[in-house]
Amino acid sequence: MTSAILQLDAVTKTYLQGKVEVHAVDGLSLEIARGEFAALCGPSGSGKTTVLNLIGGLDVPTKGRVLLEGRDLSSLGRSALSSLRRDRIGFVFQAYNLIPVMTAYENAEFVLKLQGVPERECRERVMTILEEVGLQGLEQRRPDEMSGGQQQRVAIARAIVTHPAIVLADEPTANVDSATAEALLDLMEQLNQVEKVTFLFSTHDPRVMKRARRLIRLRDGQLEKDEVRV
Amino acid sequence: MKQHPRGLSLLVAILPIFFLVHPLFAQSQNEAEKILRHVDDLWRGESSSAEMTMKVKTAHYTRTLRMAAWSKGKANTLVRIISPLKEKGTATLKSGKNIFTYLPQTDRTIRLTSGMMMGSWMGSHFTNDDLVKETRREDDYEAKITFRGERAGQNVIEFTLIPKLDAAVVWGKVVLTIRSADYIPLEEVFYDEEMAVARTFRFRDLKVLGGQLRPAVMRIIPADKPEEYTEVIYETLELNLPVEEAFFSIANLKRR
Amino acid sequence: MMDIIKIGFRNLIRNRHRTVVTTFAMGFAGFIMILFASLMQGMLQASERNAVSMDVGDIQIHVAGFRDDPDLYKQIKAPDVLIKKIETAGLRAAPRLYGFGLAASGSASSGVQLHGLNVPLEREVTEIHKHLAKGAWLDPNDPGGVVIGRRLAKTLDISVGSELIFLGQSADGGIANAVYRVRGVLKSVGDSIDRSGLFMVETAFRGLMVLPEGAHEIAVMRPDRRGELSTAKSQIASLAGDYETLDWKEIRPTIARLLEMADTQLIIIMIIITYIAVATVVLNAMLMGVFERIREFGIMKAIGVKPWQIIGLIYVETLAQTAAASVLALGTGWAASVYLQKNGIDLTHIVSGASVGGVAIDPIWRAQVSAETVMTPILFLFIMAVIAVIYPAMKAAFIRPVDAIHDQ
Repeated sequence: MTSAILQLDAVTKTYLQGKVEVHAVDGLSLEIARGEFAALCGPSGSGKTTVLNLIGGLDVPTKGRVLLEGRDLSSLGRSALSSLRRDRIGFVFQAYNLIPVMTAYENAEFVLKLQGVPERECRERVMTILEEVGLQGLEQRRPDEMSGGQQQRVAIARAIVTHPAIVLADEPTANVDSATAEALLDLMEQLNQVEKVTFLFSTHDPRVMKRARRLIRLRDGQLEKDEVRV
Repeated sequence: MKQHPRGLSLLVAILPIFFLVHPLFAQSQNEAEKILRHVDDLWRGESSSAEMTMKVKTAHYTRTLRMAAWSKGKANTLVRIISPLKEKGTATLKSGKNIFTYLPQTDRTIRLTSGMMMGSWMGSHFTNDDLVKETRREDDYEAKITFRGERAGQNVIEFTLIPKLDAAVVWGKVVLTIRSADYIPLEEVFYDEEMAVARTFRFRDLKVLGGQLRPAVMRIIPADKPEEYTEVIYETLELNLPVEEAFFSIANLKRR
Repeated sequence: MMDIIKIGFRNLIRNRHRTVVTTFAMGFAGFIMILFASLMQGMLQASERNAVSMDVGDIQIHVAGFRDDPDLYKQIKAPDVLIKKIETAGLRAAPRLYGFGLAASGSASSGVQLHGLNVPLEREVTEIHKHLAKGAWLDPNDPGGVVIGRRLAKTLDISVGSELIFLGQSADGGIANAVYRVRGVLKSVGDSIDRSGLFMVETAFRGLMVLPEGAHEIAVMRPDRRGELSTAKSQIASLAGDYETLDWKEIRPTIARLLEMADTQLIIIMIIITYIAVATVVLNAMLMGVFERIREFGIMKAIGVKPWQIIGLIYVETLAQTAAASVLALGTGWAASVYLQKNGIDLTHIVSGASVGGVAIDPIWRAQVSAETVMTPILFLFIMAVIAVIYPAMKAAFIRPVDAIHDQ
């Protein structure tokens, strides 16, 4: 894997649960290349969400390094980290993804505005993305005026509108019905193939695992199996 | 209020009435008290009538009043101004614990309130309070002889009177000096509670008054204003006259 | 930043019930503070007016030692000349004479302080002539008419038209004695005057007390009671030469201290009221708002919103509510204060004859509205809101997105 955008180098994350040390992630090393459509899977408690958080800079490893596009996240300060999240990472969460007082359009536009992208360019890019995710005509809807699937589409649009290095999707299909889940996966697959957006899921949804081209199985914070499908 | 030893009685019959009720008159076997009781006896009188002149000298004015005074027992005293003309007829009646003043200018009689008690009586160095107090020092003081011998050319006895613990008295002590020969008082000094001299009484000009040799002039000198004084000069004094109780009434105040 | 403001306002609209309740609570606190400040101001001014305008004046001149031991002979010589000088300097002055004695009527009598006043000059200096409960003020053409204090009238059981006998000692040591007719009875002015004040015209005093010239006191008043008291005092002191010059704060230290204390107490009480009312309300509302929306803030942080932007957002929401509350408080507080300035609260049944520091309290408690009494509470409202919201804002700004997002 020559074009790794993400490297985990012997990453360990230890929590204290009461007085007991819990190794949520235990010496995990991993590389993700540009354009991958990969999924972290495993039973709950296997550490997949923690890994995703470590990659997203939402959490810091106890030991080891996380490198995004060659930059060690642990060397970055609070503010640099939030700039990195803003500019290089897209997030899709399982629920409560959107800012409730903003319309679909404004939610998608929000990160661009935080980046300081000029108004006209924002508009162009947001309208394009919303069309791509199939939300044309719903731009002015507020989250509470949209279905769960539509909200996740807005979240996906927001995640990719900044052209991030990687989109981290934490159980993106957990709160939607099957048809919607398939549609969302179609959308993300298509974005991966057409736009070359790198996706890393954290999931135990078989529908996601079925579609992922690489399955990274975790157990007790350790790599159990890294399976690449073609 | 504290007991003042001087009353109108002093003015009326300086010593007669004063010593009549002098503490040292009280029963006691001690020598000091024996002598003082004798002193008291010299001036005993059930009632009195006198004419006198009161001279008041202060930093701001000098005035001379002639007045007539009557007393009966401890409780009743009446003083009436004879001159000057402006104040003629002004009369003060002490009856028990009350003082009434008759004012001819306005033809009114006023009872003095407690607020007025520390005020000057007739512009003199006596306070109204001095007038109203019953002079029952026998209850209030312990007496002892503190000096006996020659002083300024005559033999004197000096008594120091210390208030008894429970006595309601404003003075810290009183020092009385009398002539050894005839027990005639010469000087009486009043000390305040800080034992500083508050005022001094001086007695002089011996004269036969009321059938006895007595000092006819008494001068009171306030210690804080030594250049001021009030002097009472007795002209006549008669003792043990028959005087009616009714004489000491408000109605009689007005009579000229 | 525009976005932050936009989001803030939308949040307020979205949670409109909370917004309305918070705003009204803050507005009510502001209303109470404004009313309270105006009422306190009113009371302070009334007390000062009573202390100064009824009797003391701004500044007084005496012979040194007169105040400790006021006797007839401690006189200011040639008071007319000094008064002329003071008047030329642009201030107003009146000579006063004092004596002590006994006033009696029927079988009742009471110690009194005699005030001999130059009626026309006194009118320029104090307002005591307006403060009559019954009858009329002194008239120079009626030297036999006197005005007496409220409680003195009660003690002697006399009223307008009654006779009163004065007995005292005149300056020549003689008996000062005369009959007067009561022209007027004063309202409550202060302990001393209420209990023992007997006012007569200057000529009557001089005749009675055999005091043909001099004065015991010269009371001075600044014409508009503006400007520095100390400036006026040093001006008078230079005119008065060897005589003692004191301002009213030195003459009535109790009331001056009380007024100063009341000023600081006012601030302290305002802080407490504001803190308790506003801070509790704001803190609670904002804390609730933040915790309710903790996931929202977590998401915002996760997608790259900076902590200061979150703080900004919360402050936008708080300040917008405070602004609305201020408008509410200003409107209602100002209206209520103006109403109470005009009409006052009638405390006649409660505090009739009460006094503080020897100065009577006006039984009609009127508010006094000024820019200060209205704006200070508003300023406080803002300051307290800003302080109260620091904690929830920090909480939201520095929350770890992981905790927020996975917080269930």
